[in-house]
Amino acid sequence: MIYRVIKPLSTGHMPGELVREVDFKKDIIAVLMQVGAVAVAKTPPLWTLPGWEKRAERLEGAGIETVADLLGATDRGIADALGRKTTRGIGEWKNEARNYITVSTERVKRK
Amino acid sequence: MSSTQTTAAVPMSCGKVEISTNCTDYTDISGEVQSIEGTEQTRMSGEAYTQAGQTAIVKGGKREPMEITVNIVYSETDAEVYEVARDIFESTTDCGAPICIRWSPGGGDAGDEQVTTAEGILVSFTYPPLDASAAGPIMGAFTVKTPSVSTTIVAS
Repeated sequence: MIYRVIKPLSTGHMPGELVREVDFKKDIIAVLMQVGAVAVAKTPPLWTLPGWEKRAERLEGAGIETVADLLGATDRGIADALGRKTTRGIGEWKNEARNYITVSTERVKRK
Repeated sequence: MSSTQTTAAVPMSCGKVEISTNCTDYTDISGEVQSIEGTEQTRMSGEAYTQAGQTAIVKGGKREPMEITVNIVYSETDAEVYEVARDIFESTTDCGAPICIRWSPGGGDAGDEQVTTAEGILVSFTYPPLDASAAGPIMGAFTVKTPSVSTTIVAS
Protein backbone atom coordinates (compact mmCIF):
# COMPACT_ATOMS: atom_id res chain seq x y z
CA MET A 1 0.00 0.00 0.00
CA ILE A 2 1.12 3.55 -0.73
CA TYR A 3 0.67 6.45 1.66
CA ARG A 4 0.65 10.23 1.16
CA VAL A 5 2.66 12.25 3.69
CA ILE A 6 0.44 14.89 5.32
CA LYS A 7 2.82 16.31 7.97
CA PRO A 8 6.64 16.63 7.82
CA LEU A 9 8.27 13.47 9.18
CA SER A 10 11.50 13.11 11.13
CA THR A 11 12.78 10.87 8.33
CA GLY A 12 12.85 13.90 6.02
CA HIS A 13 9.68 12.99 4.07
CA MET A 14 7.70 16.14 3.34
CA PRO A 15 3.95 16.66 2.78
CA GLY A 16 2.87 15.53 -0.67
CA GLU A 17 5.46 12.77 -0.96
CA LEU A 18 4.51 9.14 -1.36
CA VAL A 19 5.89 6.48 0.98
CA ARG A 20 5.49 2.74 1.41
CA GLU A 21 4.98 0.78 4.60
CA VAL A 22 8.33 -0.94 4.06
CA ASP A 23 10.07 2.44 4.18
CA PHE A 24 9.54 2.44 7.96
CA LYS A 25 10.10 0.10 10.89
CA LYS A 26 7.34 -2.31 11.83
CA ASP A 27 4.03 -0.76 12.95
CA ILE A 28 5.20 2.85 12.46
CA ILE A 29 2.75 3.50 9.60
CA ALA A 30 -0.21 2.64 11.82
CA VAL A 31 0.94 5.17 14.41
CA LEU A 32 1.54 7.83 11.76
CA MET A 33 -1.97 7.28 10.36
CA GLN A 34 -3.42 7.56 13.85
CA VAL A 35 -1.87 11.02 14.36
CA GLY A 36 -2.82 12.15 10.86
CA ALA A 37 0.76 12.35 9.62
CA VAL A 38 0.12 10.05 6.63
CA ALA A 39 -2.96 8.84 4.80
CA VAL A 40 -3.62 6.03 2.34
CA ALA A 41 -3.00 7.41 -1.13
CA LYS A 42 -5.71 6.98 -3.70
CA THR A 43 -3.86 6.76 -6.98
CA PRO A 44 -5.15 6.87 -10.56
CA PRO A 45 -5.21 3.98 -13.01
CA LEU A 46 -1.96 3.72 -14.97
CA TRP A 47 -3.70 4.22 -18.30
CA THR A 48 -4.56 7.81 -17.31
CA LEU A 49 -0.90 8.82 -17.18
CA PRO A 50 0.21 10.62 -20.39
CA GLY A 51 1.83 8.19 -22.83
CA TRP A 52 1.18 5.14 -20.65
CA GLU A 53 -1.72 3.54 -22.51
CA LYS A 54 0.21 0.65 -24.05
CA ARG A 55 2.41 0.14 -20.99
CA ALA A 56 -0.68 0.16 -18.76
CA GLU A 57 -2.26 -2.53 -20.95
CA ARG A 58 0.76 -4.82 -20.49
CA LEU A 59 0.91 -4.18 -16.76
CA GLU A 60 -2.82 -4.74 -16.35
CA GLY A 61 -2.27 -8.26 -17.66
CA ALA A 62 0.11 -8.73 -14.73
CA GLY A 63 -2.44 -7.44 -12.22
CA ILE A 64 -0.84 -4.01 -11.89
CA GLU A 65 -3.57 -1.46 -12.59
CA THR A 66 -2.93 1.66 -10.50
CA VAL A 67 0.09 3.79 -9.62
CA ALA A 68 -0.08 2.34 -6.09
CA ASP A 69 0.05 -1.21 -7.51
CA LEU A 70 3.15 -0.27 -9.53
CA LEU A 71 4.98 1.47 -6.68
CA GLY A 72 4.09 -1.27 -4.21
CA ALA A 73 5.45 -4.08 -6.38
CA THR A 74 9.11 -5.06 -6.49
CA ASP A 75 11.06 -4.47 -9.70
CA ARG A 76 11.75 -8.22 -9.90
CA GLY A 77 8.10 -9.03 -9.39
CA ILE A 78 7.07 -6.68 -12.20
CA ALA A 79 9.74 -8.06 -14.53
CA ASP A 80 8.68 -11.64 -13.83
CA ALA A 81 5.01 -10.78 -14.38
CA LEU A 82 5.90 -9.29 -17.76
CA GLY A 83 8.12 -12.22 -18.68
CA ARG A 84 11.24 -10.05 -18.75
CA LYS A 85 14.68 -11.34 -17.83
CA THR A 86 15.98 -8.06 -16.41
CA THR A 87 14.51 -5.28 -14.30
CA ARG A 88 16.10 -2.63 -16.52
CA GLY A 89 13.86 0.39 -16.99
CA ILE A 90 11.34 -0.54 -14.31
CA GLY A 91 12.90 1.88 -11.83
CA GLU A 92 12.44 4.69 -14.35
CA TRP A 93 8.77 3.73 -14.85
CA LYS A 94 8.24 3.96 -11.11
CA ASN A 95 9.93 7.37 -10.88
CA GLU A 96 7.86 8.66 -13.77
CA ALA A 97 4.61 7.43 -12.24
CA ARG A 98 5.58 8.81 -8.84
CA ASN A 99 6.36 12.23 -10.30
CA TYR A 100 2.97 12.41 -12.00
CA ILE A 101 1.15 12.12 -8.70
CA THR A 102 3.53 13.76 -6.24
CA VAL A 103 2.19 17.05 -4.97
CA SER A 104 4.80 19.80 -4.93
CA THR A 105 5.47 21.31 -1.51
CA GLU A 106 6.53 24.63 -3.04
CA ARG A 107 4.12 27.42 -2.30
CA VAL A 108 2.45 29.08 -5.27
CA LYS A 109 3.63 32.68 -5.34
CA ARG A 110 0.82 35.20 -5.21
CA LYS A 111 0.66 37.52 -8.20
CA MET B 1 -9.97 24.86 18.21
CA SER B 2 -12.69 24.02 20.69
CA SER B 3 -14.72 25.64 23.45
CA THR B 4 -14.19 22.61 25.68
CA GLN B 5 -11.02 22.09 27.64
CA THR B 6 -8.31 20.17 25.80
CA THR B 7 -7.43 16.64 26.85
CA ALA B 8 -4.27 16.66 24.73
CA ALA B 9 -2.00 18.75 26.97
CA VAL B 10 1.61 17.53 27.20
CA PRO B 11 3.64 17.64 30.43
CA MET B 12 6.86 19.65 30.70
CA SER B 13 8.95 16.92 32.26
CA CYS B 14 8.67 13.76 30.16
CA GLY B 15 10.43 14.84 26.99
CA LYS B 16 13.43 13.58 25.05
CA VAL B 17 16.41 15.77 24.16
CA GLU B 18 19.17 14.92 21.68
CA ILE B 19 22.34 16.59 20.46
CA SER B 20 24.29 16.27 17.22
CA THR B 21 27.63 17.60 16.05
CA ASN B 22 26.81 16.98 12.38
CA CYS B 23 23.02 17.52 12.43
CA THR B 24 22.54 13.95 11.17
CA ASP B 25 23.53 11.52 13.93
CA TYR B 26 21.89 12.34 17.25
CA THR B 27 22.76 11.27 20.81
CA ASP B 28 20.13 11.08 23.53
CA ILE B 29 21.04 13.46 26.38
CA SER B 30 17.74 13.23 28.23
CA GLY B 31 19.57 11.82 31.24
CA GLU B 32 21.52 15.07 31.74
CA VAL B 33 19.09 17.78 30.61
CA GLN B 34 16.86 19.54 33.10
CA SER B 35 15.21 22.12 30.86
CA ILE B 36 15.20 23.97 27.55
CA GLU B 37 14.55 27.72 27.41
CA GLY B 38 14.58 30.48 24.86
CA THR B 39 12.21 28.73 22.51
CA GLU B 40 10.42 31.88 21.36
CA GLN B 41 11.19 33.08 17.85
CA THR B 42 10.30 36.58 16.68
CA ARG B 43 9.71 38.04 13.23
CA MET B 44 11.07 41.47 12.32
CA SER B 45 8.40 44.05 11.72
CA GLY B 46 8.13 47.72 11.00
CA GLU B 47 5.47 50.37 10.81
CA ALA B 48 4.75 53.70 9.20
CA TYR B 49 2.07 56.29 9.66
CA THR B 50 0.39 58.59 7.23
CA GLN B 51 -1.45 61.83 7.68
CA ALA B 52 -4.68 60.22 6.48
CA GLY B 53 -4.95 57.01 8.49
CA GLN B 54 -5.75 56.49 12.16
CA THR B 55 -3.62 53.37 12.57
CA ALA B 56 -0.17 52.17 11.59
CA ILE B 57 0.73 50.41 8.37
CA VAL B 58 2.49 47.26 9.58
CA LYS B 59 4.63 44.98 7.46
CA GLY B 60 6.62 41.89 8.38
CA GLY B 61 10.17 40.88 7.62
CA LYS B 62 12.35 37.84 8.19
CA ARG B 63 12.29 35.61 11.23
CA GLU B 64 15.06 36.42 13.67
CA PRO B 65 17.56 33.84 14.98
CA MET B 66 16.81 31.99 18.20
CA GLU B 67 19.06 31.47 21.19
CA ILE B 68 18.04 28.21 22.81
CA THR B 69 19.50 27.48 26.24
CA VAL B 70 19.81 23.92 27.48
CA ASN B 71 20.22 23.61 31.26
CA ILE B 72 22.22 20.50 32.11
CA VAL B 73 23.52 18.57 35.08
CA TYR B 74 27.25 19.00 35.51
CA SER B 75 29.31 15.80 35.35
CA GLU B 76 32.90 14.93 34.56
CA THR B 77 32.11 11.94 32.34
CA ASP B 78 33.44 12.38 28.80
CA ALA B 79 30.42 10.78 27.16
CA GLU B 80 27.90 12.97 29.00
CA VAL B 81 26.60 16.25 27.64
CA TYR B 82 28.55 18.68 29.86
CA GLU B 83 31.89 17.44 28.49
CA VAL B 84 30.48 17.01 24.94
CA ALA B 85 29.17 20.59 24.89
CA ARG B 86 32.36 21.96 26.44
CA ASP B 87 34.39 20.26 23.72
CA ILE B 88 32.21 21.84 21.01
CA PHE B 89 32.35 25.28 22.62
CA GLU B 90 36.13 25.21 23.05
CA SER B 91 36.69 23.91 19.49
CA THR B 92 39.58 25.62 17.78
CA THR B 93 38.37 24.92 14.24
CA ASP B 94 36.30 27.27 12.08
CA CYS B 95 35.37 29.79 14.78
CA GLY B 96 32.92 27.39 16.40
CA ALA B 97 31.87 23.87 15.49
CA PRO B 98 28.32 23.32 14.19
CA ILE B 99 25.69 21.90 16.49
CA CYS B 100 22.06 20.83 16.30
CA ILE B 101 19.70 19.90 19.09
CA ARG B 102 16.25 18.43 18.92
CA TRP B 103 13.63 17.78 21.56
CA SER B 104 10.32 15.97 21.70
CA PRO B 105 7.93 17.10 24.46
CA GLY B 106 5.94 13.87 24.19
CA GLY B 107 8.97 11.64 24.73
CA GLY B 108 10.21 10.99 21.20
CA ASP B 109 8.05 7.95 20.43
CA ALA B 110 6.67 7.35 16.93
CA GLY B 111 3.85 9.80 16.32
CA ASP B 112 5.15 12.43 18.79
CA GLU B 113 6.16 15.84 17.56
CA GLN B 114 9.83 16.75 17.51
CA VAL B 115 11.42 20.19 17.28
CA THR B 116 14.82 20.32 15.56
CA THR B 117 17.14 23.29 15.23
CA ALA B 118 18.75 24.19 11.95
CA GLU B 119 22.56 24.05 12.11
CA GLY B 120 23.66 26.51 14.77
CA ILE B 121 26.60 27.68 16.80
CA LEU B 122 27.27 27.30 20.52
CA VAL B 123 27.37 30.92 21.60
CA SER B 124 27.42 30.44 25.35
CA PHE B 125 28.64 27.84 27.83
CA THR B 126 28.31 27.86 31.62
CA TYR B 127 31.20 26.37 33.58
CA PRO B 128 30.41 24.89 37.02
CA PRO B 129 29.61 27.40 39.78
CA LEU B 130 30.13 26.64 43.47
CA ASP B 131 27.96 27.58 46.47
CA ALA B 132 28.63 26.34 49.99
CA SER B 133 25.07 27.15 50.99
CA ALA B 134 23.46 25.09 48.23
CA ALA B 135 22.49 21.43 48.48
CA GLY B 136 21.56 20.50 44.93
CA PRO B 137 23.69 19.17 42.06
CA ILE B 138 25.89 21.59 40.13
CA MET B 139 24.16 22.78 37.00
CA GLY B 140 25.71 23.90 33.74
CA ALA B 141 24.20 25.23 30.54
CA PHE B 142 24.90 25.90 26.90
CA THR B 143 23.17 28.13 24.36
CA VAL B 144 22.70 27.33 20.70
CA LYS B 145 22.10 30.21 18.29
CA THR B 146 20.18 28.97 15.27
CA PRO B 147 18.31 30.60 12.38
CA SER B 148 15.20 28.47 12.88
CA VAL B 149 13.63 25.29 14.16
CA SER B 150 11.39 22.84 12.32
CA THR B 151 8.65 20.61 13.68
CA THR B 152 8.26 17.07 12.39
CA ILE B 153 6.50 13.88 13.45
CA VAL B 154 8.77 11.14 14.82
CA ALA B 155 8.63 8.32 12.28
CA SER B 156 11.27 5.90 13.52
